[in-house]
Amino acid sequence: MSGVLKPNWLRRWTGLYLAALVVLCFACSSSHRQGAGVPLTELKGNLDPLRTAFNQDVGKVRLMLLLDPT
Amino acid sequence: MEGISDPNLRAYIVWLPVLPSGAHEPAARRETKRIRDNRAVQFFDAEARAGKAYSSILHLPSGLPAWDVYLVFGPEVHWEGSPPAPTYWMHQLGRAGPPELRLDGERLERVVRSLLPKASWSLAGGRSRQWVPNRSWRRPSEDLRL
Repeated sequence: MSGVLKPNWLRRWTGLYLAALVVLCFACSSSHRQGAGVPLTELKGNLDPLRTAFNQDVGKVRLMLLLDPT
Repeated sequence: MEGISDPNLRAYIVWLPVLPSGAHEPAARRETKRIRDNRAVQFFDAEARAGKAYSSILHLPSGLPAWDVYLVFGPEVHWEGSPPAPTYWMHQLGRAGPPELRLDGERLERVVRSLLPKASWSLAGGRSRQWVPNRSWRRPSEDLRL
């Protein structure tokens, strides 16, 4: 990670803030709220579940965020 | 930033381990609760396969996985063999990524909004590449007719 110059705490907070901006488009819309359980699909050995979801949504604008959760 | 409530928008949040902090999966499960929208689907990529794949697609420095990246795909993009190149993308990789693509939430939102009208089109005949407008879609020029 030598190419990443920001300290981890700054990266984390900046990342959370900006990621929140991106996902606000979802979170702010009450018409799209989910229930309490939020599914997390594990990608085991391949990206097929992601690919399937991606292709099912052809015809829509799609955002893909690759993020470290820690 | 105002929310985009357009139903023609989808998001895939891919949590992947990059930082050497451990316990990534429990952390991912905690983070999923921050995004509650049925247009968003969340994944945990334990082997960071998506990060490795997009590292080369985005021409990142060798050995640096793609993470803290925000990829936008237009409605026509289909994932064939390998993951598709994004229509647009931004990052938080500091000097490791192109400076002109550093994350700017407002600019990213503008890009997404600019692509959304196209998403009102639907595919004609299964996998056909021919686009047809749905009933609710109108060409801008139609608004100018007398």
